[in-house]
Amino acid sequence: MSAPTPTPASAGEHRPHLLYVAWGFPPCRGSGVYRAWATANAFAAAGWDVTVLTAPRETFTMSTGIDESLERTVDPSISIVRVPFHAAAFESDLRRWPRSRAAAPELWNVLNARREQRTFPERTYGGWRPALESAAVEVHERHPIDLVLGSANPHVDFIPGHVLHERFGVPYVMDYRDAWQLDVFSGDRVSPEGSAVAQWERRLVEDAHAVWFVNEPILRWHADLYPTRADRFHVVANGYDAPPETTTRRPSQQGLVFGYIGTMSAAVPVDRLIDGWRLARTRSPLLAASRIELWGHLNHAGTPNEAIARQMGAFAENGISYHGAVAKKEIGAVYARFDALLLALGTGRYVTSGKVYEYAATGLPIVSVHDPGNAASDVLRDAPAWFPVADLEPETIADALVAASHAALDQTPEERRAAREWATQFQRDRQLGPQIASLRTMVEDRRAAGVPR
Amino acid sequence: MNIVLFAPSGATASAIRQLAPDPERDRITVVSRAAPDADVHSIVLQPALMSLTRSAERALGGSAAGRNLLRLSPLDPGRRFSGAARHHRELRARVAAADLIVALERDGILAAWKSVRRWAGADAKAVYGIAPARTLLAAARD
Repeated sequence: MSAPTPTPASAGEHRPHLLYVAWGFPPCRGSGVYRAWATANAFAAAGWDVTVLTAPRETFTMSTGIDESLERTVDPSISIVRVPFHAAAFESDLRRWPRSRAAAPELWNVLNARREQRTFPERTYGGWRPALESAAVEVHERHPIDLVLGSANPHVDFIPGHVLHERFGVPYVMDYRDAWQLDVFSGDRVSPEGSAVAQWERRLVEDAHAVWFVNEPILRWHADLYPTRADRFHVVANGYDAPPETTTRRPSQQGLVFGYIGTMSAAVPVDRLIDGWRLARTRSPLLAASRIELWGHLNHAGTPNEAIARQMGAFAENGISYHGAVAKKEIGAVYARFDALLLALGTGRYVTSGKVYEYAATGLPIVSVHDPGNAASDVLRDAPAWFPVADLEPETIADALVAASHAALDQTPEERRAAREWATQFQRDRQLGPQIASLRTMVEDRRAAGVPR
Repeated sequence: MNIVLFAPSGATASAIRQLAPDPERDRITVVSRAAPDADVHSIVLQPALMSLTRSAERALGGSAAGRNLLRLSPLDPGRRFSGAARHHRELRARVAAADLIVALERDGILAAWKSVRRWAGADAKAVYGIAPARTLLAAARD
């Protein structure tokens, strides 16, 4: 680990220094990495010196897998400090596994989690706390930090902000991609009042300069929990980074291609989608001649979601094919293969996902295969070519697929353009820009007031 | 390289695509309990009590507690798969000659782990998951 040196500033110029903390940062290929990548790049583009604390490259090459094309698009001015990280969940060498783990990996993980939470109440990642604290202080001593922004999960990413605030008065922002105490799928509170997690979160939220959430329902849930701090809460939606290129592809009466791009975790109702698709193919000659292409990882970690793996045997007979992961630089070419999109998401009124914005940016018809109460429905409610379902019954999904197939055939280039234009409201820089400007003002005001860095 | 993939479901086409084996230099063996969906050499094991195992999976697979209970029982699909691998002579030879052994699915972990302990050479690598397998393969080619 090496500490960064400040970027030379011209006379009179003050480049604020952001310490950005994200366990998953490129080349990590995890689904949450795009927000981290875009946020760090946006601060750098806005004239900040940015130092990122993240996990070592080997953590990703030997577990989740990597996307080097994304890594190449990290702003070269950003200093990346890779903080040593060790967790059993990321130990993929079977020779290092005890027999008990090989025999009952799920149970072993539960028992091991207790050990990992000794220093911070977070499974798998809690043990990172001491190394993160040291790294944050080391960076601050070398190049004083004006602001810390932690991107969770993991929530241990909030620790550097907490430490630098306690020791040096540095303000910090908490950025939640999901939530800590709220299960965004079930809506249940997962950590009881008084638990270590509840105490930690309250302490962190109390002292935070701002807290970001990805959608309004998650913000409201936290506002109810921390009413005296709700004025510091902001929705910073995910948005999309660049619209997929327009294509000249025209849907064909001979058969359409429905596409899904995204991580297929166990929460994604692929089984429901397949049931609905099978039924739709019996009803529509067009769909009987059509195909589904699934692209993305089969889980958040580097190992497959076995519920899907088990269903793959029936894919071919139903016109479904799985194509593996997509690198960031190739995503536009993949969207160009599709006539319509399948937005399959886990159920939960707090679930937005990141891909909904990119889907919208294509202008293609979108079939929503998720609970209608999902927050993603709020994003697409006024979309020009959206086909939601009232429930996840095969009949309902089949109806939506048939309707979307007609829309895909009938969509004119002008209508596609209009749909893309409608989606420009979800460009990520429209989400981040105002927040970064506001933080810049806060940092400059502190500096003008003589607050020591 | 000699690569042995443990994937009870047989769903290996995507993983093999990601490994991008060199047909001249790499030899892949899939160890499964169903015919693999890829055109590679395979060893299809026939675990005992599979109909009972499937019933138990259906009954207990819906919850974390149920899955853990199943893991500790004789009907654990991973244990059954591993048992079927124990006396397989061809598998033994393939693992002994392997440079890389990969468990692609949880139910393949125990069979892979025991095979490595019993038969693999000291230099053979053994991992769980396709990402580390890709990394090791790339490193070996460099």
